[in-house]
Amino acid sequence: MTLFFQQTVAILSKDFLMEYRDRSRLLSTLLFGLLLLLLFSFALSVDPALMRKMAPGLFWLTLFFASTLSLEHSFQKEREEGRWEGLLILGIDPRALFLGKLLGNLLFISLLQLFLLPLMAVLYDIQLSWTLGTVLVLGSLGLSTLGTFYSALTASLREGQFLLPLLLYPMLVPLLLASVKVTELVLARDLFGQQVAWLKLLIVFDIIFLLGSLLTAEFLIDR
Amino acid sequence: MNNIIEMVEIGRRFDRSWVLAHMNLTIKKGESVALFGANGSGKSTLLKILATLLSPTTGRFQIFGKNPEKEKSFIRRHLRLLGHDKQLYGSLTPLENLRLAARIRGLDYNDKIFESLLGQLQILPFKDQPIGELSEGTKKKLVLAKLLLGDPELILMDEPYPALDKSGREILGHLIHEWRHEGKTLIIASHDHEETIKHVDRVLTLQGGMISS
Repeated sequence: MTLFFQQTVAILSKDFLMEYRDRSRLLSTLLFGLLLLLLFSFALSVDPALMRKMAPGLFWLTLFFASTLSLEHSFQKEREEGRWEGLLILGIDPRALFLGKLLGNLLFISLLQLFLLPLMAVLYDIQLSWTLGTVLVLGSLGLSTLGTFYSALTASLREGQFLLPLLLYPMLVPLLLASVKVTELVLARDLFGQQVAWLKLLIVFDIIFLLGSLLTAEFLIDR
Repeated sequence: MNNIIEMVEIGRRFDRSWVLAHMNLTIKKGESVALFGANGSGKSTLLKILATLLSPTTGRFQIFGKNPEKEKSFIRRHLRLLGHDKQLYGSLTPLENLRLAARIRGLDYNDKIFESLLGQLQILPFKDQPIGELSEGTKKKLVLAKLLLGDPELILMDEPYPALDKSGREILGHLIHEWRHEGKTLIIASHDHEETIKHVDRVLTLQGGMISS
């Protein structure tokens, strides 16, 4: 294994172990996601047809809001006790640090999805499918990439935790639109075959965000 | 390469205040140097510049004959910094902290090596205890154990003595003695003049952003 991948795996497994030992963040994020879904459901419960129609948008919004809780912590914990500098002085490749964090966030968001999906299916009466799974993976990858990028950008700022959603949410708009649209089409069984075009758009977003983030990782992390 | 560090007209500004100004410094390979100076005199800033964690605002410098702007990763691979912050992960154990540091350095060490390092620092009994539960002195010894990973040429220490008890100071003194014997270059920034002076060839004092011998 090259040093780059060894460093990426080291960061990923370190974050995984820390999250496993201190499960409070995971539990609070899952609980927050659950509460959001329930609140949306109560607010729209008067009209089940409307609920089904709104389900994709509400699901992605829930996911975006709930995952912000974990994303802001991603690089913030490296700022404490000089750990960020400690990693740099150990000779970590900034891109490996970024990729390790990104994979950790992707894992976290996937776990959140696995928890919320069955609930969503029951509350909003939707059917789960493999195509829906693909959409969720692609949407989560974009969310994790942008989230990790802005988490690194704001971690060194004094009011970083407040700035993160302000910077992140506007950038997520195209991703949100594409994710909601393709989810909507998948749930409606895509009678006119439009989902492929939206899926391609989602893939393009993911590639642009991922390449852009990796290219700027050195400036972002080791500036 | 006789000089391991060469700094010319180095200056560093934070907002409007210059912490270092027109500073020249040359350190030879294998030299052991004490860096004294009042609080805020720029000792930590200088060490961070040498560790390539900060860039100087003015001037130019070389470490190991390399340009820090272009060969940051080479320089970082060949030096160690003991900073003010412990840079440890509280929910991981000493063994896990060492494993992480070694993997990032690309060192293929097994647990026996880590245990021997912890034994050398007399903290082996704490190897499986989360760092958050350990005393400050034990944490400091673990930070010293991290310095022993690999084979650095240059070791920078910023206030190494606080939090160390008598036995900790003796261990550090022994380590410094070994490093000097192995021909490593040391820079120790400290307020503890009496302890530091025992281990160095040369004393430098930082005052008004400049160095005087």
